[in-house]
Amino acid sequence: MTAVAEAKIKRRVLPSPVTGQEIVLVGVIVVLWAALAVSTPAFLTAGSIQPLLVATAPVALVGVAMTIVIITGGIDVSVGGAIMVCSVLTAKALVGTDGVSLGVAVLLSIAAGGLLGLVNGVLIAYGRVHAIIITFGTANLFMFLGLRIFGSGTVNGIPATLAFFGRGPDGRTLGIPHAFLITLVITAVAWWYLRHTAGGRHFFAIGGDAQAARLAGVRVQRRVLLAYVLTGVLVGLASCFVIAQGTSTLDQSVGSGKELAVIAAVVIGGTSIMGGRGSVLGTLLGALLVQSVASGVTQLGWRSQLSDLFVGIFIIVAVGADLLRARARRSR
Amino acid sequence: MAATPLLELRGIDKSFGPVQVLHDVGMSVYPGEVTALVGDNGAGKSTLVKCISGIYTIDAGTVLFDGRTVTVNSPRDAADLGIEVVYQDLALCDNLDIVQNMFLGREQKRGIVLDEPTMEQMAAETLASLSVRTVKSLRQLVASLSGGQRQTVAIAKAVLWNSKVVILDEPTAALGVAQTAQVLELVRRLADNGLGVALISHNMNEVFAVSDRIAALYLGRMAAEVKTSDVTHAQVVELITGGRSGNLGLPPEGPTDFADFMPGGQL
Ligand SMILES: Nc1ncnc2c1ncn2[C@@H]1O[C@H](COP(=O)(O)OP(=O)(O)OP(=O)(O)O)[C@@H](O)[C@H]1O
Ligand SMILES: [Mg+2]
Repeated sequence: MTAVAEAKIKRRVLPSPVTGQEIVLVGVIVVLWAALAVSTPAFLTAGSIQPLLVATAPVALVGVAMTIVIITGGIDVSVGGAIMVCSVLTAKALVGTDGVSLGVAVLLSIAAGGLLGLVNGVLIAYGRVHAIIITFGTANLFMFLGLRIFGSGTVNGIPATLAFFGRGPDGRTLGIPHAFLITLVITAVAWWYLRHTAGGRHFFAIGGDAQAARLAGVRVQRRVLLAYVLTGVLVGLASCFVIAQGTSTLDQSVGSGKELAVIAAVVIGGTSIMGGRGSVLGTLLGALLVQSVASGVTQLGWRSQLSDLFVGIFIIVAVGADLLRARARRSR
Repeated sequence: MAATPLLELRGIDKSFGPVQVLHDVGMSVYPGEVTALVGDNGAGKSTLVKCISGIYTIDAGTVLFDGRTVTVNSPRDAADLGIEVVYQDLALCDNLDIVQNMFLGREQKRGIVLDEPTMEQMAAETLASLSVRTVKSLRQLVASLSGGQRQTVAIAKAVLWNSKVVILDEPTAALGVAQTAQVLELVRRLADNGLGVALISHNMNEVFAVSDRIAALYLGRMAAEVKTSDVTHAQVVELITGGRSGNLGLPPEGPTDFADFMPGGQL
C-alpha cells in the first residue's frame, strides 16, 4: 500500500503550467507577426512593436483581474466606466500649476479605482444578485459620475507627468515600454498566486461550486470581494497608462467599450466564461493578439471594422474550444 | 458500551420563519458505533445535520461534544472540534482534482506556498487506509469520477483530519449495488477505527446491516433512540411513518395534544 502511495507521489502530475490554449495563442501570434513582417516590412521594428505593447498594457492589466473575477464565476462590465472615472479624476489632479506628482497621481487613481471596486464587491459578495446585473448597474453609475467630474467636454493641458508610462523615450527601459513591463510583472505574480497559494485555489473552487467551497470552509464572500477590489485597483493603474498614452487632452470617450476589449482578451485567452477555469497568461496573450490584429489591419491599410470581425471570430473559436473541452472532460 | 456520547444533542429547536422544522430534538452519537438517523422525507434529518455543522444556527438547545457544551457557528468551528460532515448534495468542486478537493479550505502550506507533495502523500495514505483502490490518479478531476468514487473522495476528505465524529447524509442514495456495499463497508470501518459515525439512510437493509443504534425522526421530533439489536424492521418502519410503535415512540396523540392546537375547542 505504501508502495502505491509513493509511486503516486513520485509521479506528481500537477496540471501543466501552460495550457494548450496558450501554446496555440503563441503560435497564432507568431504566424500573424511573421505575415505582417513580410507584408509590411516596417512592422517588426521597434517603432511599431513598442506602441503595440504600450497599447496592449491597459487591456491586459485589467484583464488579469477580470480573469480572476471570471474564474470565480462572476464578471465585471463596469470597468469601462471605472476607467473613465479614474482617468478624469487623475487627469484633473495633474493639470494646473500645482498639479500632483507621478506618485500621487498613481496612488489617487488606484485609490479611486479600489473604491469603485469595493462598491461592486460589496454588492456582489453580500447582495446575492448576479454580478452581471450589479456591474451593469454600476457601469451606468460610474459613467454618470465620470461625466459629472468632466463637467465640460474635455480636460485640457494635461502635463507629461505620467510620461514614465507613455509612448515616448521616457516610457521605456532597454527599449521595453514600462507600462508593458509592469503588466508583465503583475501577470507573473498573479499567475504564481493562482497556482501556488491557497487563496488562488479558492478562487477556482468558488467558480467550480461556491456552495461546496463554503462548506469546505472557504471564506467565499471575502474572496469575491477581493476579486472586485483587485479589479478596481488595476483599473486605477491602467487608467494612468491610458492618460499617459493619450495627448494632453482627455475627452469623454475615455474607457468607452474597454470592458468588451478586456472580456474579449480573457475569453480568447482560454478562461471559461462559466467560471472555474482560466489563466492570466492566456489573457495577456489574448490582449496581445487582439492588439496585434488591430495594429496589423491599420498597417495594411484595411478598414478598421475588419479588426472587429477578426476579434469576433477569435472569440467564437475560443468559446467553441472551451465548450468542446468541457464536454470532453465530462465524458472522460 | 461507551458511557459518554462523543456528540450529544439536547432539546434542539429550529424554525425557518414561521415553520418549525425541529422540535426539542435529542440525539447521541457514541465512539466506535454507527448511529443510523432515519425518518421520512422532510422529517428534518438534513436540517439537523446542518445545525450540528454550524450551517444553521439553532434556536434553542445544547450541543455537547465529549461531554462539554460547545457552540458551533460555522463548518469551520465544527471541523475544529473534529466533526466532519459528508453532505447529501455532494459538496465537491468538479473543476478541482481529488487532492485539491480533499484539502479545500485546509490546504497544507510551506510558508505561503501550497505544499503539493505533502498533500498528495496525505491523500494517498488516507485513501489507502480506507482501502480505496478504485481511483486511478490523485490528480484526476472530480468531474471525471463515478458517483461511488465521488462519495469515496467526500468520505476520505472527512476522515483526513483525525476527526472524531463523521456524519454522512444519505451517502448511498445515488449509488449502484456494488458501490453501495463499498461505501457501507467504509462506514463500518470508520466506526471500527473508533470514530463516532452518524449515518442517514432511507434503506432499512442498510440500516440494519451497518448500525449499532437507530434514531428515528418523525415530523421534526425524535420519536425514539434504540439499539438496532432491540428492534425489528417493522418497528422501525412504524416509527418512521407514524412516530410510534407499540410502547416505543412519541406518546399517542390524545385530546390534550389537540387542545394545544385548538384552545378551548370541542372535539
Ligand atoms: N432552508 C430552509 N428554509 C425553509 N424550510 C426548509 C429549509 N430547509 C429545509 N426546510 C424544510 O424543513 C423540512 C425538513 O427538511 P430536511 O431537508 O431536513 O428533511 P430530510 O429529513 O433531510 O428529508 P430527505 O429525506 O428528503 O432528505 C422540510 O419540510 C423542508 O421543506
Ligand atoms: Mg435530507
